[in-house]
Amino acid sequence: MRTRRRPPFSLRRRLLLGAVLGLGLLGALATLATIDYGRRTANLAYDRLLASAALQMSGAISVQEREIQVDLPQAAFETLALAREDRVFYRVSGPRDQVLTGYPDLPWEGKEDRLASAILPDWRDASRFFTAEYSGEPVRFIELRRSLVEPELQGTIRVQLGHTFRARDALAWELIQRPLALVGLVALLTLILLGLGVDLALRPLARMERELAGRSEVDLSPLHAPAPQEVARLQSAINLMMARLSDTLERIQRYTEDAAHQIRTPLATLKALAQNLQADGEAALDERRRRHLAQMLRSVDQVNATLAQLLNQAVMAHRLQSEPRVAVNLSKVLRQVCLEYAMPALRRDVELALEGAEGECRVQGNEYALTQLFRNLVENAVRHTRPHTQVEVEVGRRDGQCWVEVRDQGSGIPPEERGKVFERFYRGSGRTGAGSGLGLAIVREVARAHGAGIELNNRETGGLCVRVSFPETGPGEGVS
Amino acid sequence: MRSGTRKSIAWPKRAALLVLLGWFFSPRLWAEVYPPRELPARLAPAITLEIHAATDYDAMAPLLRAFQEIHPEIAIRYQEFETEDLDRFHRAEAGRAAPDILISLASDLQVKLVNDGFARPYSSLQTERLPRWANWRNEAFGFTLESAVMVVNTRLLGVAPPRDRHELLALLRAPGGRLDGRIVSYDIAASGVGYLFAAQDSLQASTYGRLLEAFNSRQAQVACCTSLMLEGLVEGRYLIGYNLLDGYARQMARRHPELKVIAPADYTLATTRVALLPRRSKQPHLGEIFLDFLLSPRGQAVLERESGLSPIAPQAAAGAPLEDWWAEHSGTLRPISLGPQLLVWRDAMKRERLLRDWGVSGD
Repeated sequence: MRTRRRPPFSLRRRLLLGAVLGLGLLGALATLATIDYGRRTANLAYDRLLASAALQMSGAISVQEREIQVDLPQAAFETLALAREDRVFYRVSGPRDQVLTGYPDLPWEGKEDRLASAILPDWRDASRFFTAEYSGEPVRFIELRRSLVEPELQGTIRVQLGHTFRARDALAWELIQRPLALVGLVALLTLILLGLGVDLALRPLARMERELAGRSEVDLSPLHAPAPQEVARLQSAINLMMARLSDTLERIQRYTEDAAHQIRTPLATLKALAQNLQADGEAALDERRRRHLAQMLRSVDQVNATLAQLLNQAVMAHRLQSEPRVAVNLSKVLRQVCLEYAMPALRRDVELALEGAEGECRVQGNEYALTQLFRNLVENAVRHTRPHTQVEVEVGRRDGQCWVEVRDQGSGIPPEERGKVFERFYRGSGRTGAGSGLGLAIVREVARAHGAGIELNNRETGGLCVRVSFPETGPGEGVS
Repeated sequence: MRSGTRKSIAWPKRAALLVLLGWFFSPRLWAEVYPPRELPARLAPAITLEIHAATDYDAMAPLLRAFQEIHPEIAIRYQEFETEDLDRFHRAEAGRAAPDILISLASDLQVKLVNDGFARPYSSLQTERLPRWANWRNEAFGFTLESAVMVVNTRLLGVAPPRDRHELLALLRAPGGRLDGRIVSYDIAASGVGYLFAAQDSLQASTYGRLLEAFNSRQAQVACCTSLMLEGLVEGRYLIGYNLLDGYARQMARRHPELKVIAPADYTLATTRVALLPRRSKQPHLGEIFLDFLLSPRGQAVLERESGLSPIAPQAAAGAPLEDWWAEHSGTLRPISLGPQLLVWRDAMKRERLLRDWGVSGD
């Protein structure tokens, strides 16, 4: 019936994939921003340190006897030693860029940081921060300029002080650890929430699927579950289609009904004429013609029976569709059916026994249809059992499930035919008589409409056992 | 054209200078000045651990022997230098292969070498044990404790020996010329460790100036090294020695009970012998093995028992973590922390100024 083909795409996967991609992009951006923030903040902190040390150094420059003297203050280096693991480089150069003391080969230029240069407002024009490679490592430098205005010596002295990035990197890492963890956590939580959200959003669809899948094939009533806007349109489309289907089905049924009625009238006339003929000319007819007439009458009866079953089925289908389901007491139905067939059975010397009908066994369904189901089963059993035997009907309940068994003592059905007997107009090879071939088809239809299963088994003692098992009902609906 | 002629004159001069410099710094020459000591390995084939050290061989020898007991396959070539020479030699050696380990008592010079990128980082269980002040960047490792003490010849001094710098000052300022020319301290121009102690003293505003003044007025003498000062003290030429290394002083005091070793009670400076692993070493793992040995409980025990040096912390030979001890016990002991602040004293102008203060000229 339903082939499991892989659908072209999954809404859920698509939504989640989109979310993951979006979140990944946002997360990457946030991470980059966080790292940048960490670097900047660490630089800001240590640039102040560097500036403070450089100012101390610059303050230690003096002019004595036309000579520029630099008395490096230990405090300046102790300030820098707060970044304990970092190497320190410095240079003091005079008005003609001659190196007075320090490392003569320090780079004069580098990648300048204007933002950082602004932290010394009074020195804005005279100082700058830059990063340059020295001694195999990037080094953060500050350059302070100081104008000498001594009467004997004029010019600009440059103090350049730098240290490596270890402490800055460590501080930056310290700073960004928590924000980074937060970014990760938020991304993770968002993903989980999105997953849950997608599930929640798709739930009406799943509910609709369950409702449709759980229906009997003749149930074409509209879907009533409350649905959100997006699904409501789909639901109303389905409902509309079901209504049309229902209309079509009803038309076909009515047509069958009409056709059956239309045939019935001429058939009755035909039967009456044949009976008249039989009554009038009993003597006038020879043996051969009398036999033909009797055959004709039997055929008419059979057509009548078939018509009756067709009508029955049409009515039943109609009622199954249109009537709401109610609780039906199987015991009561079976009692009625057995009463109905007790006399016809006795006429064939068959005894009809009902067991287990003392209690109540309730199922949700249509009483008329269920009556038809059991009538057919009992009628079949009575017809096929050998004379002077017993047909047993038993109702029971096990694990909340109601079941009914109808057992005869006929010839049974060979296993290879068991699948076919439920088809319309199929007549078993070993079975003859006035059966319409529709009885078991009706049984199957009703059982399906009630979600019940049918098992056919040949009994060890000979004969057929038909077992109908109804699905579980809620508490209080079973035998009480 | 003019500049061309100038060049043609300048070049031969420069070349001559370069040749002179090259000759001066050539390893052959240095080897003649400081003959290397060879300690052959007991097992063959041997690999040779090359040590350049500015620390006397007698103090190091027990350590080297103990090391070879554990590693009989390692031969040792031990080359001794003066502190400043070791630094100059190593800087001049740029481009050539370096020894496997460099040891010097002048921690400021070693720190400068690290700062200038000559050392290679290394960390192990042993280096992790070091107190913070004795490890810089995992590149400079201190492995002894060398405090600066006063040594007094009690028999000749006659009065109660000074317990701290204030009492020393009082003694120096007391009237009478008995101490004139009989105080001795390091020649800070010649001795790296003397310079280091003087530099740290100069940070003590309260006593430094007065001490300098008193030393000057009493015509304090200077000597290149602790051993000479101790000799003079034993002979009675000097009555008081200032800023001597306590390791040698205590050894001498054991043999000469008239010498009294005093750790100044106001503050006692302490430095450390610093080992570093040169970046250009040919066999880096050899240096690492030796460094780990120096810092190990066993190495520290040998250092204390046989070399007469002080381990980096008193319980270092027991293998306990060292930082805890320093946190609780340092008291008046002021270890000179390895770190960038030591660079100040390697600044040429700064050095010149300090030497001038002490009345000695640079070169």
